[in-house]
Amino acid sequence: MTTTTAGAESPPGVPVLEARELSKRYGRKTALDRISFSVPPESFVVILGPAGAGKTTTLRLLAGLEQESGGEMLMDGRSVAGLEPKDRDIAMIFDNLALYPHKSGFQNMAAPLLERRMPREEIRRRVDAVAAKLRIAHVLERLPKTMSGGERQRTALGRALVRSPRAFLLDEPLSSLDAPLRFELRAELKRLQREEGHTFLMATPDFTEALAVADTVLLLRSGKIVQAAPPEDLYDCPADCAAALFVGSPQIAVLHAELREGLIHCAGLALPLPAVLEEAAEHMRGAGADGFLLGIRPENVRVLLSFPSAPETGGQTDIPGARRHAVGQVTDIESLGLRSVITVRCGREQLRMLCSAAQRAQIRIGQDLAFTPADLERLTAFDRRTGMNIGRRTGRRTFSPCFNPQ
Amino acid sequence: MSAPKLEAAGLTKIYKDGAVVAVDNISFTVESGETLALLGPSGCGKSTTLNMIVGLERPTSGDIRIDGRSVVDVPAGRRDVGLVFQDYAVFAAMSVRDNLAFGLKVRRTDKAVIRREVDKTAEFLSLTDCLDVRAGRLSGSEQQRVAIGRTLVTKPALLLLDEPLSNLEASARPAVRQELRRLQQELRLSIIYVTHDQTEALSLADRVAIMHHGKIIQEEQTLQIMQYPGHVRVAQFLGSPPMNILRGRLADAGGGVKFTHAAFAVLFPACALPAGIRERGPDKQYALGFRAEDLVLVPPEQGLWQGEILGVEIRGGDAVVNLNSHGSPLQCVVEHKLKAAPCAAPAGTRSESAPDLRPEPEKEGFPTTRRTGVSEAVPETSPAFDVVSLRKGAPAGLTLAPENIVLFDGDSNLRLESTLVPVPQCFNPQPSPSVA
Repeated sequence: MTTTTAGAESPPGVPVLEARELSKRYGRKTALDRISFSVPPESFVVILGPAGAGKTTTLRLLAGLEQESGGEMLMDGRSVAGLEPKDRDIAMIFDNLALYPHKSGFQNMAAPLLERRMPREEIRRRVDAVAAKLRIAHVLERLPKTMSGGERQRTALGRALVRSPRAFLLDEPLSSLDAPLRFELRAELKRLQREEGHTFLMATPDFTEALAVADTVLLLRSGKIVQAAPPEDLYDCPADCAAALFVGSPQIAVLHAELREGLIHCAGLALPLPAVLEEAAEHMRGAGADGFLLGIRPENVRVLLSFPSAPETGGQTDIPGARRHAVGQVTDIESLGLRSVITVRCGREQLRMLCSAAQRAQIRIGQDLAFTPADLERLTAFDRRTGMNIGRRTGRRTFSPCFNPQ
Repeated sequence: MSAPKLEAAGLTKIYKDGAVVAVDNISFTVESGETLALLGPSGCGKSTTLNMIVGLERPTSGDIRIDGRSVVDVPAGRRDVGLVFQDYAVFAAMSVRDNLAFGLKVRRTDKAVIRREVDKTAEFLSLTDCLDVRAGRLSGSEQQRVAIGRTLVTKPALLLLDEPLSNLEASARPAVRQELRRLQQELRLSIIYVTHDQTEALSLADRVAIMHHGKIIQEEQTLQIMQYPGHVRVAQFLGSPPMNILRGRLADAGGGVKFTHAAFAVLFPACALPAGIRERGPDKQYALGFRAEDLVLVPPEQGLWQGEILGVEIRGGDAVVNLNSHGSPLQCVVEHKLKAAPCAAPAGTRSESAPDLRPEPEKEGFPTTRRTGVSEAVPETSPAFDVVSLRKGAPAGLTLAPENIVLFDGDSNLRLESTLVPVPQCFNPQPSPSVA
């Protein structure tokens, strides 16, 4: 099925939705502080942020449900100022997807089209097409109370998706679902968005959901956009320390580190400066500081079950003074199934690392454990005072042909 | 006094004159100082089981014994069992101190003892600083600690936790899980932990009992259950993503094992059917289970079989690739790959200034097995991929080491003890005759 868009197609390069310096104040409280972003056609953009960050406010402003305090919003390059919600050609999908209990699946899904006086055959065609996509064709003649939870949620989603507005705004559409159903439906949402060429702007507090479906993530905090990036960049190159802590589970460890004689000293380690942190070193030289915060993700720390007597350098001579492994005391072991998270205390620093079930069976709480960072290019550096990422933030990831891991 | 042992034997609960069997003849044991998780989706009977142990509901049949003594006829208040609910149920208008003291006050405990026990519990749960704060003003995780503290202060022999974390926001859960683990370690209570969240069950319990439609379908040591699911349903319930399942027939063929699915066939090289399976005859149906972490993506022509990429879900350090293989959905976990930065050494060479500690990458590019030895410091991971290059619609080759396959009987869905036997390959470069 090809997309039948109700509104005019935008010229190439013009975003479907755009916010310029958009602000919203409630009395003296600033909910949104001059945020700017754009949503390109057929893209899936996710606003990620904790409760109270301004996610819902952003969506409500775009939908026309609230009046902005400043800035501008454009649809297909044209200002929407003064346009009523119904004239904006935007569909909004909320968390509580209620169905009419006395109407069948079909009647529920057809409701928005009936309101728009669409011809019967066209309604039938659209509802059937969306029901097939969401795999709920078998419940169209049934009442909601005879459907499973997942079928009800799909029917409710289907009701929103039978329309073809220029953009869909989704406000935590899956947050009330059990985990397995949530995983399943978010994959369906993504598939439907891509296959139908819909334009989605979704708000969520759940970073796993954002990473899984987004083309671009807008990280929102206290009414400001902290970072706008593809999911993999948000994870690998977080804009600041708080963003690094917010995205990723188990959480990144943030250690106090010092740069001396070309070596990063932290938690008993002395690591050669990786290329990715050369800019951070420049930054520190410029600021006359040598202390910074080093971010290291748990999957980037390897457990060493036997303490290596000789420095592990892969048979090459290491630079003088380098110490690539250190020892800490195990304070917590958390099994995640196939892998476990080991928490280790090194002086006043705390690190987490992932290990296999076989390794975990040999580790006890309270014992000393040696560890080593696996890939120095995956370290992140943050300014000790501002928390800003001072390493290289862009250009680390390049495209490569499929199936060419080397 | 050591923590008690709890036994449930043939426990059954039937509602509505036999119309609804909520709990269907289940038996389990919680050893002294052990944590057992009852894990299952909502409606599987786990909360009913808990209510019977507490004494809020009477079993239709079966027995509950604490340290060998039946408690079925003992009223709830005298079973020496502490229950923590999922909705905390703290008294919001009371101070934390009064909340903690409540259970002791109703037992008319001496005031000095109450004070001492409350202070001790508050310190243990890091609540000392908020003893005089009204409980309703605390955060969700603090309220949960108050709820746990209120139960702990009465020193129950057996602690029952009913979805204790389900009302907390996701970001607060890891810390509370860690807190609960410390509590287990230091108090060594016997605990039953009811949850639908496998992360909680796996990270907190010594053993896990998986419930489905009122029955326990598998009870296993936590560290074992992921690797040895006893039933297809357990395999499809545990893990994120859960195990892949393919159904079809198995036969020895050309030095390997041929798997015939309704829509395609795969020849797993260098392995053989164990005798027990060969004896069952060629017409038996099997379900092959394999973890998404063990399925390996390779170029299409190098695969044992093929699939089409439906989409990629980035998780952080790795990503889940959704595939369609001849009509069967499969999932595969691939690691993120960071590309060499422009100023860094080209891939394949190691910079002199920054020698790499990683183990040597597999020379052939695509490792086929990752069940590594115990002593090795390499986690079992998929080869690194630049996930942004895995595009929807692209064909993909799939390989899988035979030793990573779990075999289930296709009819009963129960796991078979035997699995495919790897056959060591000769170093002879000429095609060797089948060793099997």
